[in-house]
Amino acid sequence: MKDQQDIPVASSHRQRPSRSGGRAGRITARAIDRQQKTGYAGVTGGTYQPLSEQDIHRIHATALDVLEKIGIGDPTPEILEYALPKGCLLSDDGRLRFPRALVEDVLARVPKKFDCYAPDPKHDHQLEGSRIYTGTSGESVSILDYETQQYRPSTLTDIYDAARLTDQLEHIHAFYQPFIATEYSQALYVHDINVAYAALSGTSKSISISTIHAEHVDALVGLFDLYVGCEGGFIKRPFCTIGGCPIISPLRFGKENTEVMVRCAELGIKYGNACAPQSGATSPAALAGTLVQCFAESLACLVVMHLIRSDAKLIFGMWPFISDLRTGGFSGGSGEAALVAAAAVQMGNYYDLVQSIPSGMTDSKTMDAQAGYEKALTTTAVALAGGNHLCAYPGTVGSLMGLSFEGMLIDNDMLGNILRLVRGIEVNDETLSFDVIQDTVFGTGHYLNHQQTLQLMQSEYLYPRLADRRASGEWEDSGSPDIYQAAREKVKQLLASHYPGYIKPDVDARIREKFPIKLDPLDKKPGNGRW
Amino acid sequence: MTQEVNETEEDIILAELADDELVEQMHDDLYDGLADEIAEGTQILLDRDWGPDKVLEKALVSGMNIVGVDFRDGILFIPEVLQTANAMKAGMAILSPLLAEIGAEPVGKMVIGTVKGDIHDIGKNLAGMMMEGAGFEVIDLGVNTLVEDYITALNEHKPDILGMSALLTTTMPYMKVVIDELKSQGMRDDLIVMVGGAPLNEEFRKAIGADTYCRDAATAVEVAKKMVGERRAIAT
Repeated sequence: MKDQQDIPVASSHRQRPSRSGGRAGRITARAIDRQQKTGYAGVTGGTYQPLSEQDIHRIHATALDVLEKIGIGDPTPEILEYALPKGCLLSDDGRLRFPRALVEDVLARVPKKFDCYAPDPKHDHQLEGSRIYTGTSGESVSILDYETQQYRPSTLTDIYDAARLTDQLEHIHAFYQPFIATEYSQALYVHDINVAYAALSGTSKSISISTIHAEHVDALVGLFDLYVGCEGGFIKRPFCTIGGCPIISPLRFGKENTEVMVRCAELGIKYGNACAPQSGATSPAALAGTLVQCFAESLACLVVMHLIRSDAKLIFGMWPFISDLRTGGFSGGSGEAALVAAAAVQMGNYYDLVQSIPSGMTDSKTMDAQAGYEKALTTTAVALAGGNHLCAYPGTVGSLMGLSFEGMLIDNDMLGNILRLVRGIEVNDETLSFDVIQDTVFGTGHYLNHQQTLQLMQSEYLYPRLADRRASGEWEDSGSPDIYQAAREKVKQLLASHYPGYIKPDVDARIREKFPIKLDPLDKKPGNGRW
Repeated sequence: MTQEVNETEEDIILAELADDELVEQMHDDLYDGLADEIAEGTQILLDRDWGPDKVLEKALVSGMNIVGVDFRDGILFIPEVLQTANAMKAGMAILSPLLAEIGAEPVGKMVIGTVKGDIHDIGKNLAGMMMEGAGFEVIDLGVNTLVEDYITALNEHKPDILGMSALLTTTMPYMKVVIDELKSQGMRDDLIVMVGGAPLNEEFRKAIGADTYCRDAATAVEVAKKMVGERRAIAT
């Protein structure tokens, strides 16, 4: 997704309209408009700051105390090999301690911006500052089935279909693995390879895969090299981020995920850590304490990656979660979740780190009103705070356990509107519109056909795909559909028609020769009986 | 739309196009809301001995039909449709007197106004402009229109349609005052009475004795074309 450079500004000049290709020209222009000049990739957030600067310093200082005095348990041999010669200390209790000077030094040195490549360069973007991009996320284990509207285990074809949807949804800028292919959950090599294959088959946007086996990272690189057509080609433009949870809260390394993180650092592949303590259960009930611990855990990942390779690229992932203390269960959508996530973004932004942040989670089992307000609340908060990569969980329901394709479409509209909100109001001599007001008051008396209106109607305003803005009578005449029904129709339309063929037949043959590809070629063509 | 497209298309010389190409280009120019080009194209066709009724039908009305379809489908937005209506109006300004000369039936005529007590007129303006875009002659009485003003205008212009709008629930009952006066003066049956405005609905339309309630300007155009056609069919 290219950054938007050419937002039209209001002009007070009455321009004579010129030929623009009639109907054909307009239809083409509308398709380009769909790429969104209104709520766009790379919009800059950062205005919502729930923490004071003093708060940030105190959280920072306490997190460094935690790393220095409590440390992280269960360091793997690889971590010790890299970290001990660089100044970390292994204490008698087996915990790795991080001297505060070392952490401060790393914080000052790590890359503050980097490219996020996509299989198709038109979707490349640069992660930096408080610029916002959105993506799917989740690794749910179930899907709210389109036909039955019941939860069922998610499959490889669901991943492929989710990728195809993402490919067509303009406000979702990256495809981070939304499902587990549960039929291969006992065969993780087959699983990881096929998730990557399904993603590349369905979308040309930037992708992210999770794996818990370091050797699978090398295998994935082999797959990606075949995809780009030359050995070493992927590393030059790494369009896939590897993600995982290297920390088990509170403050322990998780062996497998840590090994993956180390391998990514060694190979120079972007890695996204998700340090996701759950307040009141695996981090303190005090939200400030949760931020301290979560910051410390993410800093530990940052330091480890940097000690392995000074240009290692970590998407700093403070993912503070909330517990419902009535049950101890996870809760994704609440004022607290929005608040603590926005504060996490603020911490990352304060140190100018490229970061990811979760949002858009809901505890509702369907895309109902609860889902609507929970998703909008958390996503608006973190977007205004300016998290770089919003893992916005489009379509995800049931406390991250399931995903609804209908929900992905509804959330696409929501994300567009939130990006519009974050973009703010351009105030300048042109947009203040004195001449336009004067023209109109002494002219037609309305603005509907003023040149300024024509000029700005596609950039100042966002037109949601699904939100129903008709009069109630018209809505009744069409059978009183709600947004979910509208989304259902659109899902079918999008998935029945978009079989992009991003993997060319000769490349596909080479991949299938080398890897155990399970996605049926027939499922990648129209007429497969699924849609 | 690129600069390149614009430059190429600006080079088009309408007078050099064959009839069918010119008509096609006029459809595009209507779509792009180009009043000067439509006036020019209309004159060229007339100069080539096309009758004004043929120009109206082949070049303008059929072009506006495309606009109507794409507006319905969400491709064209209201500000763009109003540009097309403006272009249509430029063509009609040339054609209307010629149509009258040959005794051709005009698309239709409408007197429109927002009722007494109400000054919310954006919906009425929109409807008026869209009707003009469809080739109707529209006499706009403005806002805060008294029953006497409606009657005077109806007597003067002899329209096919009377359109009344109101936004306020407190002013909409005035529509019945106007309709009752039409009845008492024996004018009611000569007119299609069309009402619109956000708080109105079909029940209200029936209660006051109007012929049709249109919930938006685009619907008004479609209904107007249909009802005028039906009335004329009955009359013949």
